[in-house]
Amino acid sequence: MNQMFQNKAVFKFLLTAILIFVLTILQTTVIQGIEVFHVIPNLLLITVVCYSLLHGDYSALVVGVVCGFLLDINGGRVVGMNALLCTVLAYVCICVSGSLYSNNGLIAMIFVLIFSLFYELIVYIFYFAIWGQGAFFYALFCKILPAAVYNGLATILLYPLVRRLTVFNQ
Amino acid sequence: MRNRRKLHVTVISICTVILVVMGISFATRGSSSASGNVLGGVFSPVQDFFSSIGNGVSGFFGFVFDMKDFQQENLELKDQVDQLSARVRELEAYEKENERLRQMLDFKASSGEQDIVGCEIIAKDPGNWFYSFTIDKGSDDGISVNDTVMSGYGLVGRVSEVGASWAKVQTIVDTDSSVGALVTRTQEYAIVDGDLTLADKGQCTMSALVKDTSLILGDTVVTSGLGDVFPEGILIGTVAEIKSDSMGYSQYAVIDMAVDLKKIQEVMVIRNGR
Repeated sequence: MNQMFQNKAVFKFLLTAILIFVLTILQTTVIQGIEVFHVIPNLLLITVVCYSLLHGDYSALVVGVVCGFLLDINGGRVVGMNALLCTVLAYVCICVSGSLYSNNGLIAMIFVLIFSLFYELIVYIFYFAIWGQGAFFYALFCKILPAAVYNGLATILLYPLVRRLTVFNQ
Repeated sequence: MRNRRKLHVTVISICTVILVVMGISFATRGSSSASGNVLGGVFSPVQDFFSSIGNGVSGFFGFVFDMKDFQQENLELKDQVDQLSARVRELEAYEKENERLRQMLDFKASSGEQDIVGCEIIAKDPGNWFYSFTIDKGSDDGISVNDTVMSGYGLVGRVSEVGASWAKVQTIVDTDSSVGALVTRTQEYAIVDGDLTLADKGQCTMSALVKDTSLILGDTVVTSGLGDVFPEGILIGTVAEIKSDSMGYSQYAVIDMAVDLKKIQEVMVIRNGR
């Protein structure tokens, strides 16, 4: 019994690692070809939220940190910014997981939408607003809102995938 | 309850470590971190493969959406071919004259002096805010931070971070970018900056113009060579709009970039900049 549990844990770890690796590659390559209104969905952010809602344990924090650092290393300006945001989002998801029917695709979609708004807003404030590069309404209507909606829609495809690959019946 | 407290402590510890990493990252911007170098080495070969798929996907959608414009564009292009043929003949004459004068002055052609390496774009920024990309060559190929990056059409940006087998390029539409510029017709010096609201359209702003500037639409803007990053004479773009600032004290121009950043797949890096 114990052996079976360990095998499942290893299997889950491997599948999660492969999923994150593949999504990172897609995020920096193929996804760039399907931008809509100059925005692209953030697959790694969606994965962090979906995974954290589904599992609600420490592994979600690890996924948050890893996905955040991968976003930092592949783009952005300051290493750690995305890692910090993804960790905080994973933490909030862990806190609500287990309640609010968090194992529900629609709930995940709403969470992704709200967290994407928060995420993009923080990025805007940190990298642009505090340096005097205002354009708030442009950022809101041309970047933050479209990105959040696009992420929400992409959750429809990504949530079942994350669930299928990482959740096993005990 | 105890589990909750443990979770809080873990999250606070992780966030503290990340904040320290952010501080180090701020202090050492430009050089690549050890983790970045290792991960860059792991990801870059796979990104190389997938970026070609991404270009294919992008090209397919572009083809479908642009179909209706093709006929009109074809007619316009035929006109342009006629005009350009005449222009080419004219330029060939200038080229011969230039060659002769250079020999007389014992002047080395500037392209001969520059050490250029061709690179392929293997990955683009995963977010929606920054306009940077990763190329498939790094310090092993002699590329270093602040090397100039260009395409056959003009200036693309500069190398902002470099690893052993990859380098990150910050394009000139990025809001952190600033390039010393020169308007070729008026010989007026200015600064071309990235602007958040224009970047998606492939445009930048050109500031530091005098109030009674004699710029006109279509004026060509090249790098001035001031600032010790970009060599002089590389085409940046053309003037698309001329505007006054909100106080009316100075003017600025909107520049159409010569390079279409959404379509480029290969770039050239001028090693050691100047």
